[in-house]
Amino acid sequence: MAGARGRRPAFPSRRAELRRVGEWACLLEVESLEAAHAAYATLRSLDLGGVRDLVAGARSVLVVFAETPDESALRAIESATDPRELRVEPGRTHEIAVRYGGSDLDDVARRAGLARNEVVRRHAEATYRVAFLGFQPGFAYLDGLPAELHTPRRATPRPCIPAGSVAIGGEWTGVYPAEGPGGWNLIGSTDAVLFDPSRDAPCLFAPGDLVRFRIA
Amino acid sequence: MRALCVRRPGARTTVEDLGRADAARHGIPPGGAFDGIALRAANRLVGNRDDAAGLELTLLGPELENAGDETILAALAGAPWGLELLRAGEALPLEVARPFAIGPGERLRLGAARGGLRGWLAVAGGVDVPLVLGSRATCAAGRFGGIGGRALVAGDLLPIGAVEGSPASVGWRDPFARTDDVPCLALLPGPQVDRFAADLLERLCAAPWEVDAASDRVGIRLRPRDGASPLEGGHGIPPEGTTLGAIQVPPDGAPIVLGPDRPVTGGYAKPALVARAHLGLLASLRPGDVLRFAQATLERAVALARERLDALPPR
Repeated sequence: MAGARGRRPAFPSRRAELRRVGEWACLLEVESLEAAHAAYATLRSLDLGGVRDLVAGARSVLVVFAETPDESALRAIESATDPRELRVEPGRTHEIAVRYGGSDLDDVARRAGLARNEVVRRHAEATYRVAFLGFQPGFAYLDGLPAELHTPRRATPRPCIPAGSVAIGGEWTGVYPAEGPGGWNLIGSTDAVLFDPSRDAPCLFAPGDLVRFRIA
Repeated sequence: MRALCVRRPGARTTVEDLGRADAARHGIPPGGAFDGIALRAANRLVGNRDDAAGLELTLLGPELENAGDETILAALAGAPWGLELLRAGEALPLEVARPFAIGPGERLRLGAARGGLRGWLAVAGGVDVPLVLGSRATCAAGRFGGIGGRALVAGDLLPIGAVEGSPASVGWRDPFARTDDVPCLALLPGPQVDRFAADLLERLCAAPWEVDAASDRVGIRLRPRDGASPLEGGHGIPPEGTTLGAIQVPPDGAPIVLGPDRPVTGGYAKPALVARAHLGLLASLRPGDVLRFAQATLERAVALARERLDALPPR
């Protein structure tokens, strides 16, 4: 049932399962992106001894230890992430100015059966949530793309996409932090610096943050 | 001044330490030596801390000149390797897994790996490039760390730190070093093992696999040997964090064993992973090599990892 006085359980009937992944890691599996973010935030706030990395996934949090963990470390993770107790903390909100008009905007519009302007309007009107990071440093998968804008990845990835390209890949949208190869559909570009290893916070986006795009 | 000048870079030589902890949250691969135990061994041989930065060599090693005014102690661990010291017009053969000295103006010439693929060169004092996000390891995907976030090129100058400890009095013998036999890597069940057919691990272990040419520090790609069929049941999953040595099976059925420069999250199911004690064997695989897998229990894998740790030279 409900947790301590004044606390509002966010996921009253949901399951969480902790499984060992090899000798030095375990994977906490939950049933939603929101539960994954809540568990990730909770585990980050704990001082779990000997943890080398915490990685948020779409339905999971991976905990990597520096050495083989003992049973008490695993029990501490389980008790801290009881789904009845997890709460969603609001993340930061980012507004990103985008010059729409990338080389695949016409393709996305054609697939959606919409005018270019309408694709731009719908992409810029939605609010996105940072689901998880991956692919390259600072690359965030943004959840919340309107269904009509879902566009399959290109059959052949481009060898070189400029840094700051705003793109759509399947159900996700995102911004390429650095120049490099990629298979997503390019619909615009931004001057925002998503990743800079010399900054105190190298990565602009963290799992759970909200992102809005503004037409520049 | 203590420095090594890169006269020839070798096939792919990068500055590596034990990798970046707590960087996966920025989407940064952990990186670091493919075989961290071998780098630790090399570091201990020259009296360094375990996490000092050294060089990871791939197939063909570099030629390095002592460009400073002090003798530099160095040691190589990993694959058997041809190496020699060029001193006053003479080429003196050197041994792996034993410390040796490079005098000012002398050159260390690292030839080709004799079997295996990778080696780790430690120098007393460590390669003293700046720490970026807590590590000196090269992050190729982010173009930072090491020297310019890239493999070494001729003319690079490697700053070497001050000596901290004294060299080990014994050499290193890796209990799981490559032999002439087909390497056999211990496997543990992966996070999605239940989502494959019950005999998937048996099938992984039944047939020999061959290392594909498109293999690197991101992943080692395997293909079935001698017309054997690929694995069935490969599928996508909600993307989740990845671990070193995890085996992804994409829908095409050709497994990919993830390396230190892997993306931090991945969307392919992982039915198995390579036991930690055999990461050195994994790092030693070159394109065309044949390998096998054998199932292990978690307890057995932990014991094997402990055995390899215990064999390290004392600090």
